[in-house]
Amino acid sequence: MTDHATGALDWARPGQGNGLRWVIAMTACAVLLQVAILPRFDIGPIEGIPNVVVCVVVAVALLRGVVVGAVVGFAAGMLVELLTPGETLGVLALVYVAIGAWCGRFAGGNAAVGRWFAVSLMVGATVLVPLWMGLVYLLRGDGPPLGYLLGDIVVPQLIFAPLVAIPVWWAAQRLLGPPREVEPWMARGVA
Amino acid sequence: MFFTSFFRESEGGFLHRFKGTVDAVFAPVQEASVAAVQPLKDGWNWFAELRTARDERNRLLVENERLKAQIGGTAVATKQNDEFRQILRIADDGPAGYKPVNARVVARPADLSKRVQLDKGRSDGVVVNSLVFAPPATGEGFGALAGIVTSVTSRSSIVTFITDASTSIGARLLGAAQPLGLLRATPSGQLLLDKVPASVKIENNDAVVTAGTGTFTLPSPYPPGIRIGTVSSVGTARGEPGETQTVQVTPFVDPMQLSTFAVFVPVSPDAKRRAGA
Repeated sequence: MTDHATGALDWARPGQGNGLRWVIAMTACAVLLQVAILPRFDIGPIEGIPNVVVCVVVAVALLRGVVVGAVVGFAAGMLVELLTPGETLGVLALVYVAIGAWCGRFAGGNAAVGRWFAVSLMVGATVLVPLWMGLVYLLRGDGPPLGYLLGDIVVPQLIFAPLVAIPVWWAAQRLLGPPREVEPWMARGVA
Repeated sequence: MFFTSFFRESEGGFLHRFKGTVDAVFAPVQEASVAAVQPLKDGWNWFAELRTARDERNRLLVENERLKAQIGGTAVATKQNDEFRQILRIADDGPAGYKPVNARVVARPADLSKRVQLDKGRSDGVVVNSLVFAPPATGEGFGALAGIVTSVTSRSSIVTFITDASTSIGARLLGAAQPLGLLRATPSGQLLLDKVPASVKIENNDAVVTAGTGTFTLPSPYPPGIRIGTVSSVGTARGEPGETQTVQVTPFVDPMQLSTFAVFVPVSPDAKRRAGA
């Protein structure tokens, strides 16, 4: 059932569409996992919830380009903030748009996106999110102390990130195939 | 644009109401996920605890022998304690005028705020300003204050914890009559009382409780005498009006670590007045 040349599954073979349905399914699953499943588990002594959504945004952007990355980033960020009891709306969407758009630049290049490069980008993006949140809170006037932000929030995310990034990149590659820039006018007749 | 509008508008604004509606629609999915994940979670916990079970058993056997020896001595003290509690009308079922409703956490925040979404809402009697308590440890009455309900939908409610930076509570020392001031949370989750007059004698490990002060028309939503935490450090600052103290309070519980709470909904007229219901 696997195309060994591309690593993609037969039923999601690249070239038969842009795989945007898989992009939507992956994003929905990641959001559901993030807001409804992962908060239920206490993962050992480390406090925090692994950020699956940002890893999916990076993976999709690396495999489908700037536009798809940015749109997925915005949608995922808005959904997570709408479905969780936070006091912000649009903050995650903004940073996920930026992450998705920036990572999408690598999809159009001639060189293949390497596994460790992708994982490094996911880890970097995972760490960027709480730092961005800290900056927003600082601008609001109730910024957290740097020690708390780094020790209690960034470090746990740094530990979780590779554990999440590797399976997410593996699944994304299997479902979406090799990197390819997808533009809006190409999106008709998807998957 | 979303962020600015959301931050600037009131709790009843369009974006807040839209978010509340989405939360309410998604609440059954959250409840279903709690039910679906619980067996897996229980299994994980069982497996994790198996490793320490043997040591724990040996420790408990020793402790059991020691406690058996103590039972005889404590029986008299327990009887006296019950009599005193009856005389002083101290109840274990929560503050007077409130009815407990047990609730589970169904969602946690994606930002740095200290809030959670519970699976009980308006249909269970929960109203805005209902009190939220952490489950009690043995012999601690009805537990310690964890937070207050800040928004309610028909099937869910949002609790803002006392460790959230937006919360402030009038506080006093246990046994003292005079309020110390407003207890505010730092962004890292510690509680701070500043500008406390230096004349007030405060020591480490002193218990801090709600002051319950306010006016008749604008009462504090917190009834007096509810346990909040203990004093962990006291610092002295010299300002213009004279010497003042800054008191750091460690809450009895870190509510972000818990997954079940007791929501106390107001039922008596006085409690309803406090809640503004």
